[in-house]
Amino acid sequence: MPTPPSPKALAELTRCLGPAKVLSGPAIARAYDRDAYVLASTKAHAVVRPETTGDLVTLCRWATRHDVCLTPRGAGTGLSGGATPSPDAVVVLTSGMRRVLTLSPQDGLAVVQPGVVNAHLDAMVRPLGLTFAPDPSSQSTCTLGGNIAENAGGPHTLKHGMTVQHVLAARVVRGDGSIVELGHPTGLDHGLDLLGVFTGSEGTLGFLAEATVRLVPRPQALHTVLAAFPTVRAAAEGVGRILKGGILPAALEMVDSQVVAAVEDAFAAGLPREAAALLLIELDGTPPEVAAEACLLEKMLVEAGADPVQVAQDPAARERLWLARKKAVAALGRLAPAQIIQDGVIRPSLLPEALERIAAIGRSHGLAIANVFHAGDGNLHPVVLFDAADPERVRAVEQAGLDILDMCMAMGGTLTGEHGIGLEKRAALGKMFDADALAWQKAVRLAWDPWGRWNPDKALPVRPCLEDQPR
Amino acid sequence: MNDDAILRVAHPEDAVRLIREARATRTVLRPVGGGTRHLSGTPRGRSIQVLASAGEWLHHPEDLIVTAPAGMTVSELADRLAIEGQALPLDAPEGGTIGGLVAHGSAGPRLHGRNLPRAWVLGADTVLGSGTAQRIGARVVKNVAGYDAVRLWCGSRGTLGLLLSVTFKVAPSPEAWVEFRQEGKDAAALAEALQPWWQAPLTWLRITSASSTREDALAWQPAEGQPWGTPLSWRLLAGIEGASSVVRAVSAQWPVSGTASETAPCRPRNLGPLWADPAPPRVAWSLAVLPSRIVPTLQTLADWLATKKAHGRRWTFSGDPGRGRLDLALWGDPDMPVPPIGNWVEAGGGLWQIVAGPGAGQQGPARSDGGLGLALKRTCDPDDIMNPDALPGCLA
Repeated sequence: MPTPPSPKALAELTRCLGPAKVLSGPAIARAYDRDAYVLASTKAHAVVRPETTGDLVTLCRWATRHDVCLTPRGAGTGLSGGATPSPDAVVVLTSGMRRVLTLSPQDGLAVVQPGVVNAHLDAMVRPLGLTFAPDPSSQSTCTLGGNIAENAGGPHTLKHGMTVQHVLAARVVRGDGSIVELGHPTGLDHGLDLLGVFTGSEGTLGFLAEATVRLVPRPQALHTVLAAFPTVRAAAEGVGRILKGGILPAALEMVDSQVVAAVEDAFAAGLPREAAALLLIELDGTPPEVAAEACLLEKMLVEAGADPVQVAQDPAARERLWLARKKAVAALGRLAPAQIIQDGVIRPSLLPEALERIAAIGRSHGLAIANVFHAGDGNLHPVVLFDAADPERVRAVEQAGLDILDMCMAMGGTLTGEHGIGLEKRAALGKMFDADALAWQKAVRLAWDPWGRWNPDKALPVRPCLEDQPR
Repeated sequence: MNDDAILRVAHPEDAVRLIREARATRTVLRPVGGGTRHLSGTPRGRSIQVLASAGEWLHHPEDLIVTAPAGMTVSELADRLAIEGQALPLDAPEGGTIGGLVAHGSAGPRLHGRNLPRAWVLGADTVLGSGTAQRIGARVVKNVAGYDAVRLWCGSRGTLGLLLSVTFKVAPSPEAWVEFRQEGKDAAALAEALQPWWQAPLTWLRITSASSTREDALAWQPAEGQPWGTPLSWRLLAGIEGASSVVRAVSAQWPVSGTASETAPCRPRNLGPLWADPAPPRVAWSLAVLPSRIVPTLQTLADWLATKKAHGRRWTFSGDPGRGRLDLALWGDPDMPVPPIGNWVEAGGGLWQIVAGPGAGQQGPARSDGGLGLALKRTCDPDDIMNPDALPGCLA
């Protein structure tokens, strides 16, 4: 079983990689003790910042010699605790590997290191008329390594797909320091889809050293609409009307009245405060394509009872309409010291019932729950507001989270649409997988990482979790 | 177990029983769908076919989700979805089954704009080669819980077990389509003709060797190859499908030379192997290259063929230049030289596979997955009874 690295072992690692790449001490331990999931933290013994694939190989060989486990970390924006250090682990950052190695517009691809920030890549290819489509809400800071580890989604997943659809190939360093090439830049491979398995594996199978990602033509036109509804049910039913109506929006997002009030209080964005819920809909494509779809959308919204309907006439107006979605979490942060964002998925047609049940769960635990989510995907994001300093409230939050996941599973849904299992949802795995399926999942993990080197306590633990043991 | 008859799975419990019996006797099983796909190499083992009765039908049109039996044909699925104004934008040969579509993992003409099956499959009911029934993925459009078994099964060619039902994300049915056609006789003209289309929202973008006898707009293969020694004659087919108003609006934006037509929604035909008509080729390849290498690869082959001065020989090609897919077939005498296409493709960073003729089944370049492919197969199929020869070189 892996053990915490000894001072002697850390000294050896420092000699191997250089002192600038191995960091430790109280400030470091504190700085990297959690990701954006606030209910778990563990002080990091040390933090390693590799800059090359060679550094990663050296690190893994050192970890093998000393039987140390490793916790990968991108920008630390994950919402399920996937980058929270395992109790005996060394944290491995992607931030030292942030170069775009190849940019090939004619082939629609880029070869990147894992620390490249999502938005930076998108900004780099914008002048070429291209875009990297996955756009998680943390796009301005999250890294491509983290996106691939979590199979990140985002508002535009509805039309453009998850990260797995935009990754062509990967170079991965396994726990013993061996390197394996997955996928192929052409998008075809001759064997089983190992790249598909690696994507979304939450840092448990290996460390991404390089990725070849797909770049697609940037939409020439956008049409952004904010539609207000008098009831949550009407908005939820409007989602179904749009999905069945013959067009596929790039984004179809929903926020409830608590979010509207919080955003208005914080940013005065001009949102309709009287609305019970808003739908934010974005169409993209060529100008004639978008114009034709916009006519169809307008008709659907009128039929669904939306009033008023705001249409962005210029980029500034578009930014303003998106405030309701993009600044929601920040605005809600003013209402409580802490928040947890749940991530279950249901069929969109069940949204009216699900939203009513989430409100009831909040009431039963005495918790305020706001909703800001990917309605077109049925990907719920109930935001539970609470005070993390109050242990009783924390227990209520954890139970409310499990209740919401129970609801999703009872509705035929899933535990997580884009945040991952991490630490947060390990206790709920049995709701999703029966014993045989869990055994298969663990067999996959052991096939890749028989050494238990990478992120051993996350997602599907392969050993008794240290933090779960009696203290 | 009867050694002669094809094994048929009419109920889920049949699949579990037959696989467990095969495990006990170490009998290799070879799943078959509609029998429409060419698989290279010499297949071995008992054929086993999952019938539509073994799977589940569940359609949620308001959620754009359908669960369909793996044994159902793709065309029947299309008919059923059309009742609700929906479609699965993946192409399969006539008679091809849903299970075969997923197991093969490849796409037809709509690959360009609609991607591979792996982008549309959400979940499945399976029976692993271990004899264990397992539901993988989910019946919602997003799911990242656990390792992605769905992606693993797409393109696994029957090496992991049997598919009983598959859950797909579906799309609104296109009301109309329009296709632009251009033809030319040299590589430079082809490169120029492709330029306007790189940024277009196309559903399909195909190049084929030109044929004067087949007007089939979405032909996977042309009816005829080119006479030996002629220039590189090509046809480009660029198609858009969608709502009528959208198709009309978009088609007006692309006033390139060519032919436009608008009719009812189409279904691709002739999706069989490139060489199905008129005769087996001397050799055929399936290539995956970077898009920028498509035209140079064709030019190199045309130049090579022109230097051989043989008689009565011809070649044909078909592919998606945007996705870098190219199928090539060459007819000729048994002693004709075989062009070193593998070398050319590897030099350009591509992948190749010989799909007919001498060396069928060979592929390159040689790559190592560190044993992961075989290790993952064995998590499903510990005794290697499921189609062990179907992914040559990858599961050894």
